[in-house]
Amino acid sequence: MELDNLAVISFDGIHLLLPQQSVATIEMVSNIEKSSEIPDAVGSLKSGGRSWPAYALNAQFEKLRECPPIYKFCIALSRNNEDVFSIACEEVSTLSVNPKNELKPLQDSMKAPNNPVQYLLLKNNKFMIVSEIDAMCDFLIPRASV
Amino acid sequence: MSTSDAWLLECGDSLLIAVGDHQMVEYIQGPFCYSVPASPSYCDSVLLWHDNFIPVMDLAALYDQPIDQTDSVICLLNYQPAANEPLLQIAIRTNKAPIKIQVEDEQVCELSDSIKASPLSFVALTSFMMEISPVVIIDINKLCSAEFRDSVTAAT
Repeated sequence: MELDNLAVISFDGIHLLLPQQSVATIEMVSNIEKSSEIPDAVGSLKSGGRSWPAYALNAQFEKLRECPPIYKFCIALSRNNEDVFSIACEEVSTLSVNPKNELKPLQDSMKAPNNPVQYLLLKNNKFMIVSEIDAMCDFLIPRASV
Repeated sequence: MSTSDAWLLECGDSLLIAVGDHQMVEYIQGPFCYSVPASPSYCDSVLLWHDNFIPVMDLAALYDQPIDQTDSVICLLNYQPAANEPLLQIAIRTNKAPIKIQVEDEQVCELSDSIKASPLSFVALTSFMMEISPVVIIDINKLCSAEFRDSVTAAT
């Protein structure tokens, strides 16, 4: 997985970085159709005839039942042409990094089961956490519904 | 009779631990730490130190009594995961600055029942009495291991 061009997904003081190449679309949260059918999701993001389970997280990565009003955007991510999930957020930007020199792997003592955080990064005076699509899928989507 | 140099760390109101003299790198009063989401509650923040992120452990959180961060001290310790591997660092949050002590063989005692029944039993090498308080000598390598992390998360 390429980790040199990253999408920066900001919410509740967190800057979550995911591979830019996995970004399918960025929509307004108003495009989320509320649904209780998807476990832990706030609904489904609909765009161009496609659909992504939509999740809203807080700074502790707890899955919220409702999307906070300050979350204005929803970023949709895909893996191998499969629409896997979307995350509601306050802001989206992009960032180029040098993975070898800048990304610091999370140490063993912090890797709780299912912790999607894989690397840490301090850049432009911002502390950021880096994950990958597979790890976020494992974290967000309960096994039974994959 | 032999004597060993060690550092005494007050990790909570009733949790005293000791580490080897050679393991202490430095201690810092009230540094800023970054929270890492989805991490174990006893190790959910990092300290930026010499361009590396060092995990910060709050052992009192294992007893649901986390240390008040505003007044706390961070003790940076060296450990070596395996022979011929480079030294790594871990940070332990304490109530106050650590104290350098000398421990004599006669002070050694059995682990208390409360430690034996706690997650720390996995990382406790032995203990000794310091005046009237038991002090647990901790194996830092084990404390930083995936096995300890898994044993704690399985118990919670």
